[in-house]
Amino acid sequence: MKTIAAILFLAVLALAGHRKSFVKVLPSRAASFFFLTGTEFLLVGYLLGDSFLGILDAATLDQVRPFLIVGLGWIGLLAGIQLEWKALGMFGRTSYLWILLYGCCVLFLVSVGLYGLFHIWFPSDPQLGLAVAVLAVTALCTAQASIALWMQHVSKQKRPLGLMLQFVSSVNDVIAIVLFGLLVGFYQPAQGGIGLPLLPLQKFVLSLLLGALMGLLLLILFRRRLGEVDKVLIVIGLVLFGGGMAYLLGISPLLLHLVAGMVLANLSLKSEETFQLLMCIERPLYLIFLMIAGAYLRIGSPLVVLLAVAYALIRALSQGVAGRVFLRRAFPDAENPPTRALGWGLTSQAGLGVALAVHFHLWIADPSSLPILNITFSVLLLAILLNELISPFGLAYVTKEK
Amino acid sequence: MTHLFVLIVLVLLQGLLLKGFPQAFSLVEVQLTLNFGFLLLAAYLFGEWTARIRLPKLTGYLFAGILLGPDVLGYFSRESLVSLGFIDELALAFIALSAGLELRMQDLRKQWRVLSGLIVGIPVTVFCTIFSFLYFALPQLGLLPALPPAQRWILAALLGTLAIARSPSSTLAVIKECKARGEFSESVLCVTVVMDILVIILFSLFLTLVGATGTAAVTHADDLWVKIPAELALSLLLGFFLAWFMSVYVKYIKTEGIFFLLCVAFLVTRLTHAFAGTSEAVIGFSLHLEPLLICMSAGFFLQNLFKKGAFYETTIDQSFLPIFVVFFALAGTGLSLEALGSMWQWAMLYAGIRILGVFLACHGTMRVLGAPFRRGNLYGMSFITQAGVSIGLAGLIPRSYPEGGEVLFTLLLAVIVINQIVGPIAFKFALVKSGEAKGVARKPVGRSARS
Repeated sequence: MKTIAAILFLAVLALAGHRKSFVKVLPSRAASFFFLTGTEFLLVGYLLGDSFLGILDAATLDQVRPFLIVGLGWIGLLAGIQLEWKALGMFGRTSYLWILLYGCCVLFLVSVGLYGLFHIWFPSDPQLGLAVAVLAVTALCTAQASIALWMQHVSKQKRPLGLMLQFVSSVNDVIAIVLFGLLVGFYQPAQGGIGLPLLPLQKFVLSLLLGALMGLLLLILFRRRLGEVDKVLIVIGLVLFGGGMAYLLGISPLLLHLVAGMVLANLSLKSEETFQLLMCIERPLYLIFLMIAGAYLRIGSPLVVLLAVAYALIRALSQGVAGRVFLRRAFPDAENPPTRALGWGLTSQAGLGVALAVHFHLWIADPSSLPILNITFSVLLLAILLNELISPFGLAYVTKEK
Repeated sequence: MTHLFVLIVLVLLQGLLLKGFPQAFSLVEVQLTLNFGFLLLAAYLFGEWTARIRLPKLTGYLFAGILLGPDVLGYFSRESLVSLGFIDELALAFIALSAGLELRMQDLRKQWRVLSGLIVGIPVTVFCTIFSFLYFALPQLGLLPALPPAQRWILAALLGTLAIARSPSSTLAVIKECKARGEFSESVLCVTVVMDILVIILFSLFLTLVGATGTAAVTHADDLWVKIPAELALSLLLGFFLAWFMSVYVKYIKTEGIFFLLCVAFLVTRLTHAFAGTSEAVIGFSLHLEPLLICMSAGFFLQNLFKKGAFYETTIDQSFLPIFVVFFALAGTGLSLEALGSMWQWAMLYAGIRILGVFLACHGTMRVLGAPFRRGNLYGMSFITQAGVSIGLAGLIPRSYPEGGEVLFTLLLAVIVINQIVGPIAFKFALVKSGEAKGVARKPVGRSARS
């Protein structure tokens, strides 16, 4: 347990240092963007992990698994609470169709590209399909916070572009969580003694039902006039309970809490308050989450680096191509129609991408599973780092002045 | 009604999961998520319900713990509660820090006469009352094998000392819940904190005497004379350095307060555990640093010496509810109904005599100071609670008295259960009557209500 104390202590130092120095000192906007998104904590976690310092060793990581489960629930709730129908309808219904097509196109292109690539090294691996599916679904995720951060520094005329990007990102995030929820249903949890023996679709429906129930419970409890501290307690309690329940039943806590968040967002008048409440605690929680995820990262063989670079490139190319074909049509009523290169602005992957990677690691892959699954996890995390590095260039290209 | 509905849904869900996956509840992932979340929510909802019937929320948290714990519904086994132990330690560190922050020298100086009167009066009177009762009545009770007079004397002294112990955490929880601010609540908290330290010193002293009379399994009786002052001094010193570190954090960083406090609490609890092992290897006997004392003194120094308490007070105010709920719900799961059931008559008698001693002390002190009789009643109601330190020290008795020690421990646990249930209710009542409970709407009573 002393290692947990060490990581928490380091987190404070890192956080404090990051706030007080890095952001102000770094000369390049792209570099400071990398630090602002907090992605460097993946590297901090990697350094603390078994690969380097060994402070976050395997035994300690086993002990902090509950924290990861709670983190997943928190991220799901946060994603769900932003899905208010009224707000989502601002670009018209047809835009959903085009964004859905964009998502399908990215999914298809990434799947084909990665299948071909993985087939070279793992030709007859039974888990090849799963590895490719996980990477393809995660390719849909985009960090909305990164877009929002970038948009703070562009001219006012370009701000609507940021809204469009965030809108596409939020719809794609939902698609990714739903698909991942389905994917989880196909596999019995790695740990013995847990998981319901149900069909994938049944598990999926169960996730939706339990999510709706959690949302309703939140709604009922929030109906009364409550202090902020009471609300924090209720949210923490329900996320813990829901996360534990999902783990026990072998369903996705992200999906469960996404539904709970959606119920709250659309049926409660206080959803904005709840969102602010979640955001207050989000940053430290997210940073610890990133560090623990980073500690799981293994870059032992050059193959991981190669596959990560290839994955990042295939994803970026797919987004560019799919964006060029579909996204321009998604916003026909916009005053300033977006450029054809809109897809390039969606390369940042942190946040939900890391969450899905961790979800995959906790629910499906574990150290005793097949090498391809462990490689997939590391490829995913490394690619997220790479995507964070290239995303400022993509966003700069999309938002450049004519 | 809504609370009851949510509670029923949660209890049903948890019950179903417990029935469907009995083995999985031994996994730490499940214990620290599902079990912890369930306990947090259920205890909170219980607390809200008890608040409606004008009882302290803390009583609700305790009842939730008792009801869901291993003795009644069995939603939490004793094994599963072990993994939640570190949360309990963290919560205690938060509470101790908060208690230290509440002690402001400038306010305490104003009422030094009351404070010194109570700090002297209560221990002396309570000790004498319990001591004389046990010394003379213990042989008649037939709970213990016959002891020689010298050992009976020491045992009565040990139990008399235990009776002085109070519960700073319960006191603070009720003060926070009632949003009480004023001379009365501050003096109660200060006396409670000082008495806890006094109890630790006195208890260790008498334990040394147990060793000296050759009764007990205490092996390092001589070391205790060095050990206890060293432990207290080191704890205070560490508290000072912690306060300095925390003041530096406020000066230069002043952000993510909850996160930082969590780290501090973690560091203190882990360091104290590690220190015991290291000291044994280095100096030959283990020094147990007291996290409660470290955090309490850190809070005190932070408030009065470094003048940076405001930031942490605000931070703790934003997060105290989950901490109190978990801490007292876990305390509830640990309260032994079995012990209470087996010796409730003796326990009631013991608790009654202790309360009598407390009231005598408070009335005597107020009389000497020339304060009104009512004030003595209010103070009397405020010093009944007992919890953590008492349980910890009571646990040492069976080690010192292998024959009959277990029976005494059970009796003490039963007394603590009674005090922990009655104490917060009485204290809340006293706070309301004193007029310092800003967070409690006073219900009009008597004539004014009828009119």
